[in-house]
Amino acid sequence: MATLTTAIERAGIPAVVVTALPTIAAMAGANRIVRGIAVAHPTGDPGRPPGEELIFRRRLVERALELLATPVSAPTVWEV
Amino acid sequence: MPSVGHTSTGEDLDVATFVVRDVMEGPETRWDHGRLLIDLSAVEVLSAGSSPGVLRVQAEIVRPGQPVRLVNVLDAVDPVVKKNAPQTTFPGALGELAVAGAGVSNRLDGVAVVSLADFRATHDVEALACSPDGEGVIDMAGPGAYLSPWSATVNLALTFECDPDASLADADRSIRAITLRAARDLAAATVEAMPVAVESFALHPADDSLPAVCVILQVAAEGPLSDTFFYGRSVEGILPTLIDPREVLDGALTSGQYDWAGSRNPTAFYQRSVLLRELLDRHGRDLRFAGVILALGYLPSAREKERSALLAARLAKRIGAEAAVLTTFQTGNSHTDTVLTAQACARLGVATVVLFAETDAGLTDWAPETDCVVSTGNEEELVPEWRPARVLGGEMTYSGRSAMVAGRLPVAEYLGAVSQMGDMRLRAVTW
Amino acid sequence: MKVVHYLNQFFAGRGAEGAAGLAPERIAGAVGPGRGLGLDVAVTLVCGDDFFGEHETEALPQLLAWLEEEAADVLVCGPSFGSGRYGYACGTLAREAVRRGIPAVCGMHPESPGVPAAAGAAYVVPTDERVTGMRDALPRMAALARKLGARALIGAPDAEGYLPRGLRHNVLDERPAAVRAVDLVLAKLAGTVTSEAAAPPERIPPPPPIADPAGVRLALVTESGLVPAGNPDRLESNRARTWLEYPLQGVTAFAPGAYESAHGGYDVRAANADPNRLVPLDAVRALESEGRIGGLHETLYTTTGNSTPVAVAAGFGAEIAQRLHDAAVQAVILTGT
Repeated sequence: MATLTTAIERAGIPAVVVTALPTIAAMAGANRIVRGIAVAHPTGDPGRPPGEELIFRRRLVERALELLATPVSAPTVWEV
Repeated sequence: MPSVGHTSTGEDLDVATFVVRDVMEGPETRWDHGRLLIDLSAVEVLSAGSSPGVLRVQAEIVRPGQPVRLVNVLDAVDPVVKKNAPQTTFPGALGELAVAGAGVSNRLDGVAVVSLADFRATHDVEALACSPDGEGVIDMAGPGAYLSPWSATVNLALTFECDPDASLADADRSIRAITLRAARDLAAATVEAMPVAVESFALHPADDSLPAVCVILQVAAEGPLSDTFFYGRSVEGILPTLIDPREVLDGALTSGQYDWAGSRNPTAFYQRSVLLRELLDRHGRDLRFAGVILALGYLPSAREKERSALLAARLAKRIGAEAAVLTTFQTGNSHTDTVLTAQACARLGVATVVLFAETDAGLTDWAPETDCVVSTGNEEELVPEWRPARVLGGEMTYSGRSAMVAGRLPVAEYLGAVSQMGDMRLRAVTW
Repeated sequence: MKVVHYLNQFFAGRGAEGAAGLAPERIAGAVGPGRGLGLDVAVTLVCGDDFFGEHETEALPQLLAWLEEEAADVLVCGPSFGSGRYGYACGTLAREAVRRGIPAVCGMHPESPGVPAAAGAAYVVPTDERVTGMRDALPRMAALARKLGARALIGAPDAEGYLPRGLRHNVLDERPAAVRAVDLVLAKLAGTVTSEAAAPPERIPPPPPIADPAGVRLALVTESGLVPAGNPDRLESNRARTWLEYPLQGVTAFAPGAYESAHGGYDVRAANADPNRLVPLDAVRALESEGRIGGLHETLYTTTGNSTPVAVAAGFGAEIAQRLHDAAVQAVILTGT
């Protein structure tokens, strides 16, 4: 996934990776990373009731957008 | 190849080698058919009264294979004397001013003079503009011996005790003078004797079709204890300067640099330079040796670095070089000086090869123009521990450990180990 | 010589993806592939791949504590073959073991993320991508483990059968560096450029941030293997040979039953129950309708990031990047598993 991200960033487009394995992504070259919930469901949390889950997912996307709007100089991992 | 018995015109440099088979202390310094006798007390007396900054010097003969570790090593000097004008040996630094690189020089093979001084015992070294960093070690035996050429020579070890009431600059000046004088006096014992071999270093006009190669020899001057001397004067502030390689081999350059033992140039590396000898040897065969350009590293600003790089490249172009061998002095931002010089050369159409020591992380600096790098080794690699029976030159290492039980030392601390003039055979590969 | 072996849930026989959340366990003796090492395995440590990846701060200290308690002479991890998560766990555990003075050897495919995780500290024996490489991998790992456990001097990567650890190691050349320099520069003049030291690896500097999400054109990319139900274009479950694009016009959320995961590397039940758990379309659409995002690019780019060779993934990335560029996309959210 970091390989895809690197290619996109090489084209000058900022990309944020959402993954439950941020260390791997950082090591492989991703610069903006938001920690996902789990490998099997990075942007979801089946443990929450459905209404809550969407609210949580919105927050995750908002964090991703914030990170896209933030200058970084090295791999940066944010939590939701 | 060197021509034995060649009749010198007086313009070439003839180096007469005397191979030393045996070294012993004696009542006077004398050469006896391969046996060198050294009057140690005469060396020790040199300092009395006439050497400001030095209270005393202790002279000792140290031999390969002995379980002895030398620490706080400052310099290593090959014994040499100008046979027909001994008073001009090391012109400017010790002797009278005269152009180096011509005439007959007698040198001893198998013996070196090594100076040692623990400055920290008597002075606040940190107060210097540029305080020497790092240890300087020679192990005469053990797993680290091979890292320094002076584990294989019989060394006249001069351990200096500095005068705390004098300045470090004064002490260092005296130390260097005494050391150079001792080197000259040892070789002077041979002026009446017959050498084993005479190498003639000539630079006759060569076939134009051969590729012209020059050397850009990087040196540095950052103040007392961090200086390089050209005819006895600090190279501080010099612009890239054209010199004859034979001047380098014949005592025009001396060291007053005590930083980073592995990657600095002790005086002996100028005297015996494998690089300059190789180019002189191949001159007229597969290349033309266009000359040596002396240039500074560690210039203090980007602009000064770029200017010096430009002027060095310009000089290389002017002397007709198609290629240049760029040597580096020590580590850190001097590598940037080398990279900038390579880039400036490339812009003028001069191809380069650069010599770099590495760290665990690889190269310190790099650019697409430094596509041809000779690795002189990873200076951060640790050497298996060795516990000598004796230590000369101090009790503690630079980092504050006991010199007898110092643990694993990095390659960087062994004198000459990763020489970026290319005198050693160490090289880093990816494992 | 005390040997400790690390396995994931699958090779320890505890189940496949369903058991990936297994917490660390310590088992006496050899388990599964450990029996084929030909070593006297004293203890086997097990951890689920997902548990390690998602709770590393819990899993790693526990495993290391056991390792130190056992006073292991050597740690053997895997082989993990082409697995990303298992490889990462092996490489990470091995690295930390080495930092605590316990030599460690892993076995994995050279492109596994476990290789950089091992950080040049642990030894990595290269293996096949697939489990069919087991019989070949085990003896090679065991040979190196024996040497490491005996504190023998390990030689060159080629000679000893491990991947170069990226360490710059000193050797003695026949010729002094100066002679090599003269030879190399003459060769350069004649047209052959050789170097004894390489450039530092290239890292793409991060692009500058977007000014304001409210004005930005955003695209969604995923390597979770999200596809329309039935996987009509047959995206591979691993070693994907292609990436696909699907229209998002009129789609405000990924409805369960209309979309699914084609990925073969994780338990897809939670994702199939709500595919927005792989690509957060419903949340993005909601923010878009509120004016919090300028607009969503109406194409989803999807592939399966499971054992895809780096060179292939780089090709996919370049092609997708071209699409994004042509569509004037200004920012990307990329979800990965």
